[in-house]
Amino acid sequence: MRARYPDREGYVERNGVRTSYAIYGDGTPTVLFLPAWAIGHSRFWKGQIPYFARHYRVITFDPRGNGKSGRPLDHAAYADTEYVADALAVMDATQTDRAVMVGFSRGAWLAAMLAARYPDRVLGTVMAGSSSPLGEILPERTVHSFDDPLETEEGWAKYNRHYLRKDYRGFLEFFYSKVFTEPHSTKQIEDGISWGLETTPEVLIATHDSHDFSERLKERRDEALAFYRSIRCPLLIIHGDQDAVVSYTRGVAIAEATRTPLITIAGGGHHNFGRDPVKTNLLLREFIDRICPQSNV
Amino acid sequence: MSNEVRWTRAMSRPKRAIFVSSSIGLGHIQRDLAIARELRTLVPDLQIDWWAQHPVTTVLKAAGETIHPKNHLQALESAHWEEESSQHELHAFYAFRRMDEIFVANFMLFNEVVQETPYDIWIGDESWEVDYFLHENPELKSAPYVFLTDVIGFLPVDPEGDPRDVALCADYNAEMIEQRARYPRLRDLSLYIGEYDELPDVRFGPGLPNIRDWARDWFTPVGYVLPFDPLEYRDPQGLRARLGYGTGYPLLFAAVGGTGVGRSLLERVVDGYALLREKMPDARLVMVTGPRIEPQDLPDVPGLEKRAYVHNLFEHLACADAAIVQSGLSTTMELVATRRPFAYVPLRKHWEQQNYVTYRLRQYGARNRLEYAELTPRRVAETLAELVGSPVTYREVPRDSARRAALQIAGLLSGTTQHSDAMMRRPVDTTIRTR
Repeated sequence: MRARYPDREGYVERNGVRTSYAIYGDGTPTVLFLPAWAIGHSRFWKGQIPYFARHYRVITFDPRGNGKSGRPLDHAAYADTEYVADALAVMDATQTDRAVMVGFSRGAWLAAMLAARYPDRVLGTVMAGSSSPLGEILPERTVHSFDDPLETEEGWAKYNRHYLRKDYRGFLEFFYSKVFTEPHSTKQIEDGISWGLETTPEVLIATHDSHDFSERLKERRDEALAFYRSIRCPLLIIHGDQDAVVSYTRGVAIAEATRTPLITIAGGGHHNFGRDPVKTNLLLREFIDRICPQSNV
Repeated sequence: MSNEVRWTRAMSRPKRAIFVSSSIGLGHIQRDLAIARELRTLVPDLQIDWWAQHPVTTVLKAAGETIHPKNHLQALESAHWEEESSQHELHAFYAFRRMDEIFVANFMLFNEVVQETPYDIWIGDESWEVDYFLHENPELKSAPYVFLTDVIGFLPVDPEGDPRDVALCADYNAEMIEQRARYPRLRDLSLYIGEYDELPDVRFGPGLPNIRDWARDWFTPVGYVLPFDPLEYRDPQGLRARLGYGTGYPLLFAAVGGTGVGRSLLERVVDGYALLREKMPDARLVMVTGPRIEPQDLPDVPGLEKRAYVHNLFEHLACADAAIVQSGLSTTMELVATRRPFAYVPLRKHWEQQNYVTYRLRQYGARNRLEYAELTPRRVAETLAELVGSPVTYREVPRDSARRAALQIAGLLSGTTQHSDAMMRRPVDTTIRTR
C-alpha cells in the first residue's frame, strides 16, 4: 500500500483531454511535482509526496498519456505547450496562485518553460536530470532513427517506433535499466516498467518529437541561452554524472547559463529523486525553506 | 512559546535513548521491553522514547512506557501487512519489498526526530528503514547506533524455484553485505537475537558468503530473548489449575498468529481434531484464531473451544499436552522454552518461516515440521495423537539473553565496549559486486 493517499483528487479537461491531479497536505507553499513523460505518471514522486505533504501543500498530476489522464493519439496533443497549459489549468483548478515547480527529465524542461513564461506563477524551480536544448545529446542516442526500420535491436535501437510496437515491454526494460544505472535498483526499475505498461506504444510514439519548442532551440543556442537567462526565480539544478538517458552536460550547461550552482549527484543516474530520495528530499526541503522563509511555521 | 527553539547545554541533558521497535510481528516488542528493563537496571537514569507503531504502541502504553510524540506521523507498516496478508498467501519478501515508499517516508520522519532531540543512542530492533537509509546516507548518523535482529538476509522460499525470487533475494543480500563492508562503523553494535548455530548454514545467494560465517564477522550473538522466565512455567498441571483448564484429559492448542492467512490451516485442524476425537474422546482443543479470523466462521466440534484472543498466550501454551501452530518465531520458541510437544506449519511463501524459523527450531531439537500441502485431517489427527505424552529433548532456551543484549548496549553508552574479536577478524575488503 502507499505511504500516503491524496486528500483530494480531481481533473481538468482541455480540448477533450482529461488531466487528473491530486492534492496532499495543506501547508505553505504549494509544491507542484510535474510529470516527466507519458512513460510514467505521478507515482514517480512516491518517495517525495509523504514527506513534503507533512510540511507543505503537494500537488501532482498524471501527464496526458498515462495514469488517470487521457490518452490522445495525435502528435499535436503532446506539444510542450499542451503540458504547460495542463500545469496551469491544474493550478487554476486547485486555486494555486504560485508554486514551487519540481521536475525531472522532460518534466524539468516543463518546469523551465513555466518559470520563463509564467514568472508570476512560479516561486522557484527545481530541475533534475533535465532535458534541455543546451548541452549534448548522449552519443549512443544519436545513432539510430526513430522512424525507420532498423537492422539491430541493441541498445537505443529499441527506441524506435517499430520496436516499440513489436516488444513494448522489452523497450521498457531497456529504458529503465538506463534510468537507474545505480547498482541494486531492481525495485525502481520494476516500478518504472509497471507504470510504463499502463500506457501503450502508440501513445509513446505520438509523444515523439512533438516537444516542438525545445527541438527548435537545439538549433539556436543563443535563443536557448536567452530563454534560460530570462528565468528570474530561484533555481535548484540537480544532475547525476552517470545519467544514461539525458547527458550530464545538459545539467552543466543549464547551471552555467543560469549562473546557478550545479548539484552533481556523483555516481547517480537519471532519476535522482527516485533512487536517492533521502538526499534529494533534504536538498529540496532546504531549497524551499530558503526561498519561502515564511513556510512551514 | 510555539516557535521556541531550545538547545540544552550538553552537560545539562538527560541521558536519552530512542528505541525503534519494528511493527512487523508483535513478537519484537515483548523482547524489546525485556531488553529495556535490563538496560534500566544497568543505566538507571536512562530515559527511553519508543518509536513504534500501532498495534505495538498499545503494548507500550499498557507497560507505562513513553512513546515519542511524533510517533503517530509514521506511515503505517502494520496496515500495509494487513493489506498484503488479506490475500490468500502472504509472500513476505514481496510484501517487504513493496514497503519501499513507507520506508522512505518513515526514515525522513525519523531523521527529523533525531535532529530535534540529540539522543545519546539509537537502538533499532529490525529498524529496516533506519538501517538501510543510514547506509545510503551515512552522514546523517549523529549518535551511537545499535541494530538488533533475529533474521539475517533474505532467502528464497524455494531455492530451486522462481529464478526471479532467487535473483532478487541475492541482490538484496549483496547490497546489505556491500553496505556493511563499506561502512563497518555505521552500526556501533550489531546484535543477533540467537546464537550463530541458529542461523541457516547456507549461502546468501549464488556467489555470496555463507550466512553463519558472515554473521560471525558482523554480528554479536546475545541468545534468543524470551519475554518471560521459562523456569516459572515448568509445572503444567499447576498452570492448568490456575488458568481454569482443570486436569485429567489431553489439552490441545492450535494458533496461527495475527494474520488472516491461517484460516485454511485452522479449518484442517478442526477436521483433524474431529477425527482424533474418535480415538481420544476426552481430548479438548483450544483454538486461538487471532484478530483477523472470526471464531464463529470456523466449524463447531464437540470439545473445541474457539477464542479470538488470549492474553499472554505463552502461559496457555505452557500447559498444552500438544500444540499445532503456524511457525511464527515467537510462538514456536515459547513452546520450546516451556518444553511442550508441538508441530509447526510454515506459511508457504514466507521466507522467514520457511527458512530461518525452521533452522532455528531444528537447532533446538524441535523437528515436527508439517508441510501445508500434506496437511490432511488424518495427518493432523495422527500428529496430535503422537505428540500427546511424547517426551521432548529440546535444548534449553537461555534465560539471560535480554541481559546480554543490555550489557552490550550499556557498554556502548558508558564507552567501555571493546572491539570484539569478530570485528578484528573481519576481512579488510569484502566488497562483493553483483552487477
